[in-house]
Amino acid sequence: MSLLTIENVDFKYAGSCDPSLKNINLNLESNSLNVVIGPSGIGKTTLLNLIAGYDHPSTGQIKMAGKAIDQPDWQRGMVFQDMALFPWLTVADNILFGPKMRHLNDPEIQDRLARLLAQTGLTDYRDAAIYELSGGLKQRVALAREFINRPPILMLDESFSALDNATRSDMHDILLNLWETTQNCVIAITHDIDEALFLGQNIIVINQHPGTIVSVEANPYFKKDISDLSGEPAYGAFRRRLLGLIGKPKNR
Amino acid sequence: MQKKRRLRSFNISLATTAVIIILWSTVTSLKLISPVLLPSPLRVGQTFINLCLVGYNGTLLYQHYLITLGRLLVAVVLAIVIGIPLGLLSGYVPTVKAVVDPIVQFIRPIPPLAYYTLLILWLGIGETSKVTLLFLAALPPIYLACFDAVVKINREYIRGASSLGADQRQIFFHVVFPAALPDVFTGVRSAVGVAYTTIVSAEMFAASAGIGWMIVDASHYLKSDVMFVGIIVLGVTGVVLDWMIKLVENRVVHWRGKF
Ligand SMILES: Nc1ncnc2c1ncn2[C@@H]1O[C@H](COP(=O)(O)OP(=O)(O)O)[C@@H](O)[C@H]1O
Ligand SMILES: [Mg+2]
Repeated sequence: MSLLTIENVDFKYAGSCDPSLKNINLNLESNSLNVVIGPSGIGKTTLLNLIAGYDHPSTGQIKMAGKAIDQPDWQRGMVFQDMALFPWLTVADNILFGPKMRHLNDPEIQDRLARLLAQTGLTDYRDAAIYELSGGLKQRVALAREFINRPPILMLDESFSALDNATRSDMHDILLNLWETTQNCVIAITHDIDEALFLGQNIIVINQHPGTIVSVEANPYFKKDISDLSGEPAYGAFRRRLLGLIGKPKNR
Repeated sequence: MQKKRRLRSFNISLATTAVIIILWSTVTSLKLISPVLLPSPLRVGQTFINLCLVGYNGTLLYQHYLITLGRLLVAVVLAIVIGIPLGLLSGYVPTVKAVVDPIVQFIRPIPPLAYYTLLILWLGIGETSKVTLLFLAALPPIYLACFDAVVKINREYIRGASSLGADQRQIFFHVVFPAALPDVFTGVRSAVGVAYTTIVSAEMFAASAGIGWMIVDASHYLKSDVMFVGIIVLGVTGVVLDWMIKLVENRVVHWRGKF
């Protein structure tokens, strides 16, 4: 059985006349890195909101480990684009927020914190205020705050899109590193094809109005450096095909 | 740079004050206006010293002052202790809003003097009616600031916290409350302001002490120098109070405006 199963899900926002998502079917496994890509306004964020439990499908069902999702909990973490870190807490206290809420304060958590601070290069910023950090450092705090909880599913909504190229590439490495140690199921939204090709074991393309999954691609170029690939014809063809799939949405 | 600008604006304020006092002395020393209407600065200074040493109506100035501040303090503390949880809960729990909101909305626009006589009738002429009046004046600003703060809270704070494992109660205490804190302070400051402007009304009836009472009583005997001392003391205290709250605010809400 898959970790996450989405069956025949439709979703319409209250008060809007057209559904935002139609006939979504998807199975995702633990220890997988999945990227969702598609034109803007197609329903990518809406899909994550359903998986998180912030909203509920109009029809169909979403199950985690066989159980229907009815409300948000720590087992499905979410990193928002503007991170929503708590400015009244220090870096360390932001990261420890989840464990504190879950009443976990054993030495194991302190170990995790120290390890995560090291893995994300935040050790020197442990007691810094959030507003003192650059965008890239804040993004690291946002990742550490999720990973300390070890959620079986972790969602990222265009987390890296506001960062400059060098910082974004650092964040990719940090994310891959964290994911390899936790082996959870990551679902990352992006609108950047190269980010999708680097980060996605599976690339899930959403398109059409209303939004639906038009393709799930196993990505042979996962974690591969583009500069080594640019001359390879098969890579170019794959990339072009994806670009075609995420091109202008058509009405069904 | 910023320090320089602040110093500059401080100097301008100082100069403005000086100009006002010079104008005031000139007008009074030339006897352009009767001293009953406008006593000279010197005269006001003498009266101030006299009130400190001898007192007004048998009570020293500082005692009047402490009585007034005491009433204000008790009323504002009560308004804070009741208004903050009420406003925050009202913004967070729709049922609480349905119960509390109409009551506060009804009290808010009424000039406190309008129901003061009723309060005296119900609560007597002692301290209770005075403190209640100030409390009723201070409550709505705090309540409304807290309510609005919760309504406009970043939805992702709440969603993010729930996805990190926080339940509704934890979200209220660990997210809603701190997120609202900057606006809570704004509410407290305006509550102190409103209660403060109500002080004279509260001490107008059935009082025998307090700065507000002193001003009203002195007006009956055309003792304008005493009125001036009272007004200046109230004005300076108001500025200092606001400045003190701001100081606490900057320490507590250190992230304000930086995020
Ligand atoms: N709260 C909402 N109420 C009504 N419609 C919404 C709401 N949020 C998003 N939508 C609509 O749903 C569609 C999908 O939005 P979204 O999931 O945010 O797209 P994406 O993340 O792919 O850019 C859009 O047409 C958007 O206008
Ligand atoms: Mg989106």
